[in-house]
Amino acid sequence: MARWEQLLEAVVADHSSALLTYGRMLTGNPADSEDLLHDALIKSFAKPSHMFRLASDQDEATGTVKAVAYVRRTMATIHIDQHRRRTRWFERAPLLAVAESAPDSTGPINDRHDVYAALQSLSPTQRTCVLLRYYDDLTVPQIADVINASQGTIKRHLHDGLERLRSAPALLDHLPQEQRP
Amino acid sequence: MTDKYFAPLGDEPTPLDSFEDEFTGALRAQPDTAVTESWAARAASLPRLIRRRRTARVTGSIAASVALVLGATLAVAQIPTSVTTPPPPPANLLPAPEGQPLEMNCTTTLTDVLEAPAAVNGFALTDFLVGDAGQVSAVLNGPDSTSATVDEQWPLAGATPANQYYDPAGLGALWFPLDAADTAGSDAVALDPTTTAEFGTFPFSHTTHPRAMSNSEKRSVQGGGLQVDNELLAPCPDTDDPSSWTEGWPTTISGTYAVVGFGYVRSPDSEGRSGSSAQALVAARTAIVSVTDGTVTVLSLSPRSGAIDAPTDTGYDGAAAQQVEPFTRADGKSLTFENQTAAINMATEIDPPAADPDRPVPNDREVELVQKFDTDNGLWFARRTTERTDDLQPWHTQWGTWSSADQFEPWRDTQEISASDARWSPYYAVDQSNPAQVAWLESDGIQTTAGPFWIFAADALGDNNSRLIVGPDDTADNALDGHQLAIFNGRVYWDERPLTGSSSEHSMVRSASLTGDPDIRTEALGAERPVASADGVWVTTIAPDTQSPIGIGKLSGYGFEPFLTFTDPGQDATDVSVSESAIALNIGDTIYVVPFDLDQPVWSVAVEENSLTWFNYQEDQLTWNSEGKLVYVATPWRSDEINYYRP
Repeated sequence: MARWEQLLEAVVADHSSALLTYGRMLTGNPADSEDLLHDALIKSFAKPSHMFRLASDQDEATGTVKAVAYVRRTMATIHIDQHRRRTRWFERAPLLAVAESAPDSTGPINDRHDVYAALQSLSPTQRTCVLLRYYDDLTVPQIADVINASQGTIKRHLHDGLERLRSAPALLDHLPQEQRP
Repeated sequence: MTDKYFAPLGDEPTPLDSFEDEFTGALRAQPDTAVTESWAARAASLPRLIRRRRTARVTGSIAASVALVLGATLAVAQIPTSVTTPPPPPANLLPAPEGQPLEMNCTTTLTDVLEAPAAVNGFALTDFLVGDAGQVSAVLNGPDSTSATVDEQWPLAGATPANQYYDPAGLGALWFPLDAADTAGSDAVALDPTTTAEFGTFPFSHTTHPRAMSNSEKRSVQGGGLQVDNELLAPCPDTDDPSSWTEGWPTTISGTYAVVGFGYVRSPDSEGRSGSSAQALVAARTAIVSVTDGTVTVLSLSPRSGAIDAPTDTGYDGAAAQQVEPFTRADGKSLTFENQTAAINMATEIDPPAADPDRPVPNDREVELVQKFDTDNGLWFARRTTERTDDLQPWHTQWGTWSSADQFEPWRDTQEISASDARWSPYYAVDQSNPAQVAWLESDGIQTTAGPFWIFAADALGDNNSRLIVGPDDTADNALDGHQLAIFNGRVYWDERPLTGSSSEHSMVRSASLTGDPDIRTEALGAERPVASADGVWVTTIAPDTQSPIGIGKLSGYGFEPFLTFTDPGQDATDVSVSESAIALNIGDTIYVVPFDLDQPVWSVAVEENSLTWFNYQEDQLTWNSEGKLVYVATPWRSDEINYYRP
């Protein structure tokens, strides 16, 4: 079995669940998440360079971790590319609707429904930027590089995304009183 | 002339506050998703799909190199003759995706099939279209026909052999009775599966499927060809009822027939995905056959012809893959495309253009010179943008003129005309006609796709004369589409769309007089992205149901003139740039320059995947920027060379 096949096997066996969760946060539903991960794995592993060189120099565990990060990055880029190809009103319309979620007034924001609902109130680009920033811990220049946009654009998406998250009913109660709209 | 406002670069966002901290924690604490059986099955097929993709990349590169040396035309021309024996069943080599609901794709499939030409025994099947009852739907041009040609440019939806699939539903046959090899006989018929199963290895060793079959009404001989008039070309049998497959069609036939066997693909944009996308005919084979007592005898068999190569020891080499042209003339006629991808591979580096020595530098660093007016007094259209102090986002924009003598002279503050929260100004348009006029848009939110917006205008040589053209009251319940403004014939054009309502409500292009008269017009429904040229405003038309772009046309003041029709309504047509003689647009990673004279070829260049960030077509020169931060320069039709520089 080739090295890349071993790596793919490890990524799929051990990290599919987490990657599908990441995909669901990007896309909003499990079916699209599977499609996204499927495409990302093919795109990532079909390139006979980059990730394979990167992974082959590492021990297996490190290589897998880096491969997973690469796949996650690829999922973000595919998602944003798909959005750019289909940036049309019928896709945006639902995003302007208020997310249907009862606010959880106790404890931290840890209910998955709250988070999913809040994320779905963002535009696809905002959602991607927010995930890359707050899930993947990327810097603004790094996000700009990943989704091929200017840093100013990224800052705008992050700013607008956060503003919308702060006003999302699902997360509203987690804001300090003085910051609530 | 339009532009977009880009926020200034900066460092990191402000440190995380408690909300961001908590949200970050919540994101990372999301429980893993349970792996479903469907995902497990798809994951199991990944190694095979990736292996094929990797092989295709290598062989595709080799094929591309050969094509560069020999010429793409020569490589394509060799395809049919390279097939000396019938290939093994492709379905045994390529996985079959899930079938599509028949009612969704039956007509589409037929169209794709019938638009593809095929040749048999000196006949070329052309102009084969699904048409209205009584209209010509097919022409089999005979050897004496002046249009008896075989077009090797098979439509294929941009797919490479690695992501093409056959399934039994993607194979079919059309049968045309012949009294003799070159004469018309009785009605065309379709065969039922039982009969076609006896047909053996024609065309792909598959049982032809009755879904896409013809039940033509009549045909006649005209101009040396066989003409088939049709009104029943798109009956969709009930997939769940096999008995309906043969209903109305003879189960036994006899006589001589011209048979066109075909294969088409689906889901060409993603390996293994079951989602639907464009379908395209990729291969066809034709024969003259004799049927007697249920036995089919092949009298004459043409070489297989199409976009899929014969398999080699290492699989399909991809040399035959053709790319479907993304658009046609508005009347449906095809265009000639000249692709310059080879030229971009041989682009040579040139020095970047020297800085404009005539471009002054304002003393006030917040002032940006936007465009010089076509006057002799050194007057510039300029803006001064004030940023918010907390996050350096652009917030308040003031427009005016700039000259070296007087520096920036702002026009009347638009907040004095129509007060609101702070507004920024992302879009503007300049009309250099005499007197020069400008219009700009202001929004009270950084996100411009929702919320109220204003459009103001001013005369370049006027004094402190900003005026309101469109305000929120004029566009109630609508959102800015966020593309651009255009000025034509004393009016400013923009696009907007309803904020509420069903998806059937779609974008519209509206206009208003630059004088500020309250005569706002809705110029076009189902259109967006206005771009001005010398004789009109170009807009992209969109489908009312899917909101996908379906064409490009022009608003000239005398109504709408369609110009191009996109062949794949799902594709993304993004930006448009217009010069005096042609219009440039990009679809995906390819830039097309379409001359207004549609009898001339379309100039096109495919850039590196996902690398195109902008392009501009002005004064017959096309420039575009790649992800590698290079600026490419070409002069379509005037030069075969493409150059680039590092800005």
